[in-house]
Amino acid sequence: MNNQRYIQEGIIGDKDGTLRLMGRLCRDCEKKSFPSPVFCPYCGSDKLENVFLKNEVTVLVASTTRVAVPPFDPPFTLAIVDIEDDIRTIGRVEKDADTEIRKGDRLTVKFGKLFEETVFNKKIKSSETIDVIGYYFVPKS
Amino acid sequence: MRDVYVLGIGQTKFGSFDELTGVDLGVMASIDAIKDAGISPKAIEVAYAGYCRGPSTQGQMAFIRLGIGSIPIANLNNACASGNTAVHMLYKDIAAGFCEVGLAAGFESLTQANKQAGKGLLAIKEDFGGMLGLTMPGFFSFVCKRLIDERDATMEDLCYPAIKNHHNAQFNPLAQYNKPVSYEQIMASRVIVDPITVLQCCPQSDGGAAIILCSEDYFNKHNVNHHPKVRVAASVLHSSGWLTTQKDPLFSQVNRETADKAYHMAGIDPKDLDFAEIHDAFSGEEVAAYEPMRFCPEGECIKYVREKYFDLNGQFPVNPSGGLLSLGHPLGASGVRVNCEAVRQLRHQAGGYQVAGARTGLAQMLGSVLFGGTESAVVCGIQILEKVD
Repeated sequence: MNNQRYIQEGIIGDKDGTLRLMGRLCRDCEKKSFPSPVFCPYCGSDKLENVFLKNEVTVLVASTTRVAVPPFDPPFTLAIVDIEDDIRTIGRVEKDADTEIRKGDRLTVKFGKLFEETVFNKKIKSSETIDVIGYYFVPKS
Repeated sequence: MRDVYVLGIGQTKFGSFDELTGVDLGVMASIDAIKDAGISPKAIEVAYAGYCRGPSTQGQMAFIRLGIGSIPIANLNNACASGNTAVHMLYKDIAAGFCEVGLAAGFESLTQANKQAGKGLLAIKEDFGGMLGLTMPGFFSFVCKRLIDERDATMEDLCYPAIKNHHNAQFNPLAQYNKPVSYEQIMASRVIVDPITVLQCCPQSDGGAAIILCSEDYFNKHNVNHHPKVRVAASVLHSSGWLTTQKDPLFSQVNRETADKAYHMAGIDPKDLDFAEIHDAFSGEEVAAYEPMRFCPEGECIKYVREKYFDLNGQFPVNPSGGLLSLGHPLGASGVRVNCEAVRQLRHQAGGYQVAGARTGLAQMLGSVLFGGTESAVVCGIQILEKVD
């Protein structure tokens, strides 16, 4: 089994044995943000705490890339989605080729390997493959 | 602050030049600018270089070949706005009185860069969206789809800038492509990201552009080539914040904020502009820029597109030079090039793409426009230039 890393630290957390997207809640202005800022982007406060985000998102816009973008093979679909009020982000949509993703569609957040990367490990003086774990969306069943 | 004037401009032809480096192209453009200014290279007191790819200190490498040295020289990478950034830094130096005359050059050889990095779409590792596979055409496909959803744009509407700008470039001898394209040709070309096809994208290009700015006193004493007096009425460099990148890709907040600052600094209304040269890396991007830059009222960009308002002979020509779509886009050069184009128009030296009676023009570039919150920054540079009697 390959070693693993999250696509970005601080955006995925474990809640009761289940992975969830994690944002930051400002204790001063009570607004949420994602991905994890150091200071609150609304008021500048450093009084931020981790908060689990909802598992459903709503599509603002989606499009399908038809050419290779290493390490991703075409076609693949990306969408800008709203997770909760004031949180808008981007992610991959895993779907059937026939399924069209449109504005307003509801998607469910899933977690898994997005791609592999090969890095040189100085300790073992050899290359190793790492599974990069992230989030993606699937049409809500 | 003092007024700042344009003493000289220079530009290479844009295209694919296998034997030339970015530095070579910077040298060529700077020589043209110095000759156009009619001054000695030894007169240059400060110099800035904008480029995105390749080794450090390329500005020094270029300028030293002209005999320019032992002065402050800085290299600036601000994505597609690198050239505007170089012009802006020079503008500030002269406006503040730190020097009387200086040079800003932008240059790039994407041919050389691609030899080293490989050609093709690249996800940017440092960008959160990029790590998920978002590319420039990917982001602008969102822009196009939002125009379809919210402005009832058709594909004909989204292709308008590509058709218009390729038409304009027929008259520009420095353009990479000098042939018109039809809607049918655009739609028949390869799909990159739905709904963007290859001919809705700007080409990868090599080229250089340079501009010499100076104080009013210096202009009055050294304008040996008797150029019309062109003043930099505004120069603004602005970046997005976390919240502005989180907003709707339909409406570029950084374009709006930068344009408003520039109009305020120049003391003009957008209606006072006679033309604009702007970032049109993708055809739909230009359509989406009309509203935030106040070239038309909000919600009405498609109405204006259908009226051909932005044609070379329209009410308000946008990208009369042919724009990035057909002139080409050597990243670091483009922000200086749009300033050179504006000067050419104001001097009435634009030949077949001259905007009749041009007196005030806007030069804009937008850089690094991926989406992802904290780690996706957008930079916008705008200069407004005006002819002074």
